[in-house]
Amino acid sequence: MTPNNHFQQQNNKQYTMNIPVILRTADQTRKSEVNIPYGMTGNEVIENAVDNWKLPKDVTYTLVNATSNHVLNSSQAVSDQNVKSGDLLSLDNTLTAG
Amino acid sequence: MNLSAKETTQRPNDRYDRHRLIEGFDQERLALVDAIVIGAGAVGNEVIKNLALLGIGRIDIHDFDLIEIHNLTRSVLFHEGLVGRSKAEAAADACRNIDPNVTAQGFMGDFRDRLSVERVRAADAVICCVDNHEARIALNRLCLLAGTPLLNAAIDAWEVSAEIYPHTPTDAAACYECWIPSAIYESISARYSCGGLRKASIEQRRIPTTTLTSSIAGAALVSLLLQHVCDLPTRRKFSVQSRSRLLSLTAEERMISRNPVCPACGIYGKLPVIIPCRAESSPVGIYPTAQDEESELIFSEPIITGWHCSGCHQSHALLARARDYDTSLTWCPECQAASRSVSIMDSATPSSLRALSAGRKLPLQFLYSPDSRPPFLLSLSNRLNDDS
Ligand SMILES: [Zn+2]
Ligand SMILES: [Zn+2]
Repeated sequence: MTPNNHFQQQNNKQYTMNIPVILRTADQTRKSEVNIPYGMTGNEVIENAVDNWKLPKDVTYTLVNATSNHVLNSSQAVSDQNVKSGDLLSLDNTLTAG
Repeated sequence: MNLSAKETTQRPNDRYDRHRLIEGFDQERLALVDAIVIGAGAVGNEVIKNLALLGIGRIDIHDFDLIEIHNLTRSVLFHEGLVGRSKAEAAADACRNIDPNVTAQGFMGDFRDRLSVERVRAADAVICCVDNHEARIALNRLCLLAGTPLLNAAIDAWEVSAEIYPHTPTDAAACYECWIPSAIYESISARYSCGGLRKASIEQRRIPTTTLTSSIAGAALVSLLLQHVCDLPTRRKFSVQSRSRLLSLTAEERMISRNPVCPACGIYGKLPVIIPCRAESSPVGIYPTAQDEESELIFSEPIITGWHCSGCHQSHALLARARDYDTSLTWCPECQAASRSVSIMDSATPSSLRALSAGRKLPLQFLYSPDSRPPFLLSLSNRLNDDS
C-alpha cells in the first residue's frame, strides 16, 4: 500500500496533533508509517487499515503495541494508551476457536 | 556428583518423583488444587490431559456437546468407541484412567445452568476452553463475581493466544472484557433480534484447528495455572496474554491493562457477599432494607416474561430463560404473522421482581445487587438444580 501519512479524520472530531507510528499486519505482509491523530480510537485505526490495505472484513482485529507489548483497547483513544512516537503497532486476528 | 537435597529425598514407587525434582513444584499443593474446565473440545482435551497427568486434585469438566468423529483429530482423551458419548463425562473418565488419585467429574450441559457463583468462588481457577466469545464473556463475569482467576485460550490453525486474569481485587488487574474489540459485541448482538431473542438459523462459522495449536494452548494455560497456585516468582499478578505463532515459531507475552470504561469489571468486580437462597424460600422475600428495595437487581441472564400479540391481542405470561427460545416465539399461529412482541428483562427492582415471579420459580442462577452496601448476590442455584 502507499504510505497513508494522514489517517482520515472520522466523526468530525477535532484532532490537533498526531503520533507517528509504524503500523503493520501481524504477518508483516503490510507495513507503513502512519500518523495517528490524538483522540483517534483503536477501532478507527483498524477501520482505516482494513480499508486502505483491503484486508478481509470478516476478521475481528485487535491492535497491539508490539514495542511495549501491550494489547490496546479498541474503543479507547490510542493516544490515551501510552503509545509513543515511533512505536510499532500490529493488527492481530482475534482468535475464537477452542 | 553433587546430589541436590531434592534428589536425596526420592520416595520409592512415587508416581510424582520427577515432578518433585522441579524447583518450586509443590506436588502436595497440586493435589489440593480445585480446577473447573469449561469446554472439552480441542483445547479442553489438552488442558484436562495436562491437569490429570500433573496430579491436580479436583477437575470439574463442563461441556454440553457429544463426541463426534471429526473431534478425534484433536482429542487425545477420546477414541472412535466414544463417538456419541458426552464429552464432559468421557473426559472425566479419561482423567481417572490417567491418575486414579485425581477426582474428576463431568457435567453434561450448559455451564450457565450448572455452575453457581459459590462453586466458582471455591475453586482455584476456571479454565475457559470454549469456542465462542459469548461464553467467554459469561465466564469472565462469573469469575469476576467470584473473585476467581480466569484462564482463557483461543486458537486457529496456526496461532494461539492464552491469557490469565487473576481477578484479585487488590491488584485491580484487567478482565477479559477490558481489551476485547467492540466488534465482538457487535457480532454477538447481530445474532439477536432487537428485542433480544436469538435469531433462528444463524450458524457459527467453522474455524479450522489442529492438535498443534491446541496442545500449545493447553500447555500455556496449565503452566500459567501452576505458576499461580504454586506461587512461583513468575506468577502473573496482572493480566497477560501470550501469543504463539507456529509458522514463524515465535511467541511473546503482552500486558493487558485495565480499561476504565470496561463494561464488566466496574459492575461485576465488587466481590459481593453471596447469600445462598434455599430451595424452599422465596428469593424476593429475603430483601431486607429500604435501601435495597430501590436498587436494581441484575439477573444472571435475560429472561422472557411474556408476549403480547398486536394482531389478536392475546397475551401470555412466561418465566423462562431467553436463550431457550429464538425469534420463532414472535410468530402467532392465529394471525399467521410475526405479530407477537416478546418481553425480555435482564434486571429489575425487588418490588417489580416480586410482582413478576408471583411465587413462581425464577429460572436464574443469581440476582446481583451491585449498588447495595455491601454489594450482595442472591444465589438461586439450589432452587435451579433441585427439581428443574
Ligand atoms: Zn474489565
Ligand atoms: Zn395473534
